Amino acid sequence: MSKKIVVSFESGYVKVSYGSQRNGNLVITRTLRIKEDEFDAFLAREKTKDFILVFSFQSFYQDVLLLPPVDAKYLDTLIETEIKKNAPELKDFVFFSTILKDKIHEGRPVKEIFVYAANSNEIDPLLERFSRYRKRVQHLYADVFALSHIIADSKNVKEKTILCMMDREGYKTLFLLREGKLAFARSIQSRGRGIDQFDMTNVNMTVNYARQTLREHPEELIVVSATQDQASIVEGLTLPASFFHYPSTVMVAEADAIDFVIPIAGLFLGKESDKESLLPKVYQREVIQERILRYASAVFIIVSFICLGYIISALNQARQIGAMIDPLKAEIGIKAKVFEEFESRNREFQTALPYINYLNGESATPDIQKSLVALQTLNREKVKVKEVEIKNIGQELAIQIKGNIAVKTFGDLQSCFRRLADDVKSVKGVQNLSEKLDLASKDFSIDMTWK
Amino acid sequence: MLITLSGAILMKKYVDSLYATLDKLQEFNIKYIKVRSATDDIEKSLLRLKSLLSVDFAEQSIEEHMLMTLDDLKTKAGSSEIVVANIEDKGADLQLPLTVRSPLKDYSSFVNFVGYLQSLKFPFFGITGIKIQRSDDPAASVTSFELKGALKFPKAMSGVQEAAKRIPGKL
Repeated sequence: MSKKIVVSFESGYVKVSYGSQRNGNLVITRTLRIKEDEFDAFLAREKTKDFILVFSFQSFYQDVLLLPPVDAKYLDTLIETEIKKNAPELKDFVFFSTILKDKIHEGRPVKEIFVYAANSNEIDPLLERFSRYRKRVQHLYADVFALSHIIADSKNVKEKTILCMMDREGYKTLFLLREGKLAFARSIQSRGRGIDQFDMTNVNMTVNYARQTLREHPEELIVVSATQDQASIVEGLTLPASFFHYPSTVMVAEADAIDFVIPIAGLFLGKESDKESLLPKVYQREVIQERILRYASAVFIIVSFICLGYIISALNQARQIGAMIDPLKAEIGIKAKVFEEFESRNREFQTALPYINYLNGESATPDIQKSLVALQTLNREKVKVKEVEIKNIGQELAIQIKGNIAVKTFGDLQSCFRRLADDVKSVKGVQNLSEKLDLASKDFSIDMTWK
Repeated sequence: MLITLSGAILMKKYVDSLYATLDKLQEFNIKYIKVRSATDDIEKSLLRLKSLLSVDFAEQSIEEHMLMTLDDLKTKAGSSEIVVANIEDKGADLQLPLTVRSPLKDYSSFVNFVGYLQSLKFPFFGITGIKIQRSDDPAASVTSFELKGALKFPKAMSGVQEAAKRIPGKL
């Protein structure tokens, strides 16, 4: 639900409507009618910051332009150039445009575009009034544009061409809608509310102009801002006339329905109408800058609070870490002595290191005593060991065993030797065993290494 | 905002530095434990070394001590023939080559004798070779052994002893 306020300046009065969208319906919650000279006081006491402004321009330029199809980003520049060319009296102007349709004109594809331009000088004092009270004008719409939207929605006129008339004291605004889009607008002098003979002539002339010049054929006249009680429709109009009724989605008190039709039409406009806003570019930039500044300030404040929070948390952390560090720091002096002692001991150790290495080196030599114990396996029947030679060759021992086997048969000789060799081989530490048996002399020789 | 942001950045740097200090102090504590343990290990090593050194270098030279050990060895060897060469300087140590020859009456005693030689520390006894031989005479059947080796002593042990002397609770 979004709450909006629309302000409309009409014949010395400022009409204010408050409304909000609820479930797809526009609900008018409040209306105010203020004298123009009291408007400043209203702005001063009103708390809302953002306003939508609907303005009835006294003088404006409107036309339907036939422009070549160009990229959208160049279209505004092209239209601006056309307006400057066609309305040189507008020095500083704002405008909006509506693409009516694409068509072929004199054999060339063209875009038919309705343009509406108004003098910025008319709105600058208004915007200044809002700025003075630190209020922002979100959008500024021409009254005919706002009305065209609500009328197009209220009646089944999307497929029709209709002429509309805004009934005002002193003047009337006539505008043509083709398939719901604004295609022509003009203001005419008037003698009062309703349609009198003078207005009727003007309406008929406008209808003729539309038919002959614009090639438009309005089917109906819709009168806005007058009820049948208030307005008298004079016989002789070339079009059937009817009165404006709000769309069913607009919920407004009956008392406000007629008087506040323009601000209500402003409330009726949705986001899709943003590009038809007539706010000067400078003002739009200022609004954007102000918004950026506002957001930036908010971000700054949030960041400041985050930083502040972080500082508080960091202070807490620092206190906790400090509490952990203090006892450790106090122990440094005592513990440092251990490092000094280590340095001293290490120097002594370095002196002793070559001897420790010597000791370790000597301890790493093969254990000859163990090898001698292992060689007891040779002590067996029928085997006569003649010689055992052990040589220390560094990391291992080279052992040679020579002897004789005293048996009668060759079979016994072989089996006895085999047993002996296998037993020697099975001794733990024996490696690279080689054996030799002489059958003639029955002498044997076993060479091995022992580790 | 700039003040709070600067304050926050400064606080972050301060907290980071405190964490770094805490890490360093904890690291110091771990190193302290390691260093204390390393000092204990060094003391143990030096004590062990000292226990192996029964030499008083103030009174005896290495050569004297080697010859005294040779005397002990001769006593252990009993009737064995011991052939001794001169003490040689091998650079890292002094060596006294010797050869022990004897009839092998009891193999176990011989094995124990070899064990005794291997257990000698400062000086060490390095066995280079052992030869056990049975005579060819079938009637006599005499077994003898020849053991070659050297008494070895690393040079300049006095520095080590000085270091070991400073360790409390030693020998």
